[in-house]
Amino acid sequence: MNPYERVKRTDTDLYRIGKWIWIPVIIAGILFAQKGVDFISGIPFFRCRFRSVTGFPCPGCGGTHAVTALFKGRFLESLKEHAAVPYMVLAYLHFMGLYFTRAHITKTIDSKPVMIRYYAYGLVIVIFLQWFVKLGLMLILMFT
Amino acid sequence: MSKIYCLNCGNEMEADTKFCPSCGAANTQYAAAVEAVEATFNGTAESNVTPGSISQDPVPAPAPVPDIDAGAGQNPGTETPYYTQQTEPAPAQFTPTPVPQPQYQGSYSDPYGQGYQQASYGQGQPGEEGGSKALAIVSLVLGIVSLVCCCWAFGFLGVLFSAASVVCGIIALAKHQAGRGMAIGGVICGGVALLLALIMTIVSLTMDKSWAEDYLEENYPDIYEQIEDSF
Repeated sequence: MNPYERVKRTDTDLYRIGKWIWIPVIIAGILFAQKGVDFISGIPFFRCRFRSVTGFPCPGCGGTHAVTALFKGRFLESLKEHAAVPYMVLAYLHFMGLYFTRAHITKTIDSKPVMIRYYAYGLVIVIFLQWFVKLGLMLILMFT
Repeated sequence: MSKIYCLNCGNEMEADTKFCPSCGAANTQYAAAVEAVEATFNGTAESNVTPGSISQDPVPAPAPVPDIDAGAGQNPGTETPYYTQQTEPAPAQFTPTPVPQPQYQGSYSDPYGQGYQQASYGQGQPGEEGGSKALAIVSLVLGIVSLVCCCWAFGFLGVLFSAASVVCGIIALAKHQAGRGMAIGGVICGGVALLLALIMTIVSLTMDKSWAEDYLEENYPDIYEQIEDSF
């Protein structure tokens, strides 16, 4: 693969974005954890309709708390609230490290692109897994 | 013009012919000889025009021409280009040798000018999954978003994103486009989100409060309060 084709690749585009995206993300996350979470909690738009009508959590329940806990430095609490949030942080760090290693240390990035889709598959699995765990725990609480 | 013989079919042809008129094979003898001659004379010319050589030796001795014909029984110093001498074997001793064809790395679909398809990243190979991965990627992304946000905006966002995800995924699968795994993932995520949105709609239309919520509020008020607070 020539360098021109590497430029057109998705992993190269994401690596370029990822080199700088952490700055606005951290700033926005800290602001959200300090002020934004109190603001949006009062907006019905963001309330979980599924939980309010069925009593069961939806696959996205706990995401806001997980983001808040993450940007307050409580990683384990974030993992407990919604595992997909810390997973995305770890996936970002893994992707950046892997691309950097292949591009600058082993020099194999042209022949071995970083497969983005596996991170997406992992995200889907984590979302479903944490949802099933929450549903299971809730059912155990209800019927024991 | 001297005659040479094609290394592929043995046909007799002019020495400066680029392709054999009989079989169409490239005249590698001519190309190699031209390159060798050009390299020889270019090297001599460059050595003559260097400033150092001009100032120190105004009349440089001619560069020695490589004696390619040494040992071949040829007369060195003849004015005939050496490649014609070298590539003109005796017909009795001629044995056609197959010319190794260069290995083309892309997908060379038609060797007779019908056009070729160059392999590139993100596009399918002929005979395999073809086309763009865009629909599959859109399906997977929308599926994940719909899964996480299926409860926002009273379920409206969930229905919108999940329906789009399922449609994109099914189209990608039906057209056998690239990214089959992503399309399947998008259909699964979008389908689950759509199912949740439907359940949400049905339950909200049929009852004011869910049985699970009633049960929790009655038996586990502390858990009920925690669930109410979480979102």
